[in-house]
Amino acid sequence: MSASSSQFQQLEKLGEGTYATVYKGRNRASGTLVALKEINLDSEEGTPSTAIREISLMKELKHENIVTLYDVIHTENKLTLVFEYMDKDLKKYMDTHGYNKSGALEPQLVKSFMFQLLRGIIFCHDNRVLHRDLKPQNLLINSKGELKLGDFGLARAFGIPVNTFSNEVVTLWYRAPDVLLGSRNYTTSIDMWSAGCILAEMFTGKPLFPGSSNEDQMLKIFRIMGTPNERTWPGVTNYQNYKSNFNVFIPQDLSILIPNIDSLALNLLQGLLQMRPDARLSARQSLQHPWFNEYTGNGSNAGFDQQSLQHQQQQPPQQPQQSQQQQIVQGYSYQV
Amino acid sequence: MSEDHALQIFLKSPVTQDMIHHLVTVTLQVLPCESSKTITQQLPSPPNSPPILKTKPLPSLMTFITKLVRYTNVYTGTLMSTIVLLNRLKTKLPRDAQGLPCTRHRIFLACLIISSKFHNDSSPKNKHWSKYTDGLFRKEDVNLMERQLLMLLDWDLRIETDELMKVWKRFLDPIKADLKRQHKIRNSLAKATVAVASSSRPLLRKTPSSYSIPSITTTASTTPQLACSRSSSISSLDSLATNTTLDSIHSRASSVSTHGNIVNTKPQQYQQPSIVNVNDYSLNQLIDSVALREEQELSNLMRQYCGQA
Repeated sequence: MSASSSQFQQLEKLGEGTYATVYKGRNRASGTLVALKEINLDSEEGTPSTAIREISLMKELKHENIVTLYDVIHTENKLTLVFEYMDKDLKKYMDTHGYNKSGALEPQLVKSFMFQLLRGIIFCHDNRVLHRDLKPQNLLINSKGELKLGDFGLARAFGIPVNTFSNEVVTLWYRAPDVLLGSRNYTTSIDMWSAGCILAEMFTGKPLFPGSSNEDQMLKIFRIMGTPNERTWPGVTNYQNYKSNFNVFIPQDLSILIPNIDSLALNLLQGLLQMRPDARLSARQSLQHPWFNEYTGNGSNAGFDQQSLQHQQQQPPQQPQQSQQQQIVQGYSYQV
Repeated sequence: MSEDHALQIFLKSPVTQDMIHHLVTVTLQVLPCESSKTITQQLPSPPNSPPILKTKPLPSLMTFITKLVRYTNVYTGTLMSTIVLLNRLKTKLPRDAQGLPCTRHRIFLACLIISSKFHNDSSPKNKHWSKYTDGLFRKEDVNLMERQLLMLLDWDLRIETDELMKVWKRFLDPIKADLKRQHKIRNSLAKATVAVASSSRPLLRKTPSSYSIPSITTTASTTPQLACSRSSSISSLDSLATNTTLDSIHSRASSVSTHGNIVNTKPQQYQQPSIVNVNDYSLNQLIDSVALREEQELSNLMRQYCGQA
């Protein structure tokens, strides 16, 4: 991992983050397009911990649904990460491809993106990495309709006892209720809440819980999902940010908020948007959900753990049996 | 299970001299360095000796690390994880690599900075780390050593729990032994309790009431000393405090209490402070060491009475 900056021709600016600027670039030797993430090094801070983690973790994460880190150029004043080039992020994609300019995506496309998102998350979690900042802006789409997880600046390795965690993670709108309540010992379920928010947003084109502050965010969640209490969420009153005078709301029907969602997708969404972190579906469970039968080749619900469907009120109608052949969606073949 | 438990205890225990000493040993083994003496003999001609070195003698690694620990109040886990990075670095360095006298200081500091930045969501900036070296390294030096270490390790910073278990064995083993001993005491106590239950009651009721009250007052006054002089075997038991010991003591006490009002007084006495919740950690330590002494006295008593019965 030590390239020289002269290997790449810098093209137009693609975006600007809090600590980095991303340019389009071209490998002079091969002509391949790349994304150059440039981080200006502050002499007081040294190498930012975000960059240290992003590089050390992404180096290991080689998967078709995770943006590939090709190289790192580390000089005294600048750190450049060379990534595989992607056309746009999901946010921009929704803005340009959503029907009627609403930002909402066709249900079939939502399913394809969600499937790829979950596969990327499974790979992270299997490799004991939490992404901790899943949101449409950090999911990258290329012209082949492939979706890949990007921006691992907030990612962390988990599973070793040494780590200490902050609850200032995940962009507010996609932050899980347990984290909002002050949890610092969250684990993979933190990413699954974000995945649920993203699923809803793809269907409507609008963020599901666009809070303006920590408190407002909780309020927006409670308004729709219901205010948690000891009965619905044992132990919730022990969280640091729990207040006994929270406004009490009863759970709303999500299908009213997301009119174009089918019942199977709704069932998956409900599994992801569980308030209790331990009740939330895991990425692997989500991928086994009947909504994805056409990709996974599951003809029936046989492979699906019915217990993980506890949140559902009614058994959803069975998806018509799909061909057992491997499905090709948008020129992209899946294998689970 | 006891592996995990021992690990938790170790991570919660404060940094000891023994730990720092071990870090020094590990750092010294990363690469051979010229001693300060030979360097001063060689130095007359090359003019680029760092100006700080002239005015300030290089502190021993032991002093250097101790000061870093004291200034930063670094987590035990963050500090001790550097062992894995140090060992990893050793394998990446060429066999014949040699360093200047301060190279090991640089290596250790860089490993500690990286460990801190990797494992914790918030960690000091390099300008702070520079300050913690008491002027030995400027922030430019710190930035450079950090960059060099990342390059040498090729950003390979992930650590697995079994790696930690391996390099922390010497610290975990005594804790595990303590846990085992504690478990044994508990078991024999449980047996004794059963024996007591079947033995005569009037005798029992008499003994404890005369015993438990003074024992609480005396132990309470001696515990602060106990908590301060953390010999490794005691410290591991102290930091157990959080949940497990307390719970088990409570439950055990209440199970005993049915045999008479002896031990019944104890849990009440303990619960009171834990409700006040002034300083959880030291309080837990205190409770725990009190409990331990109680436990011993109780088992002595049991042996005395039951053995003769």
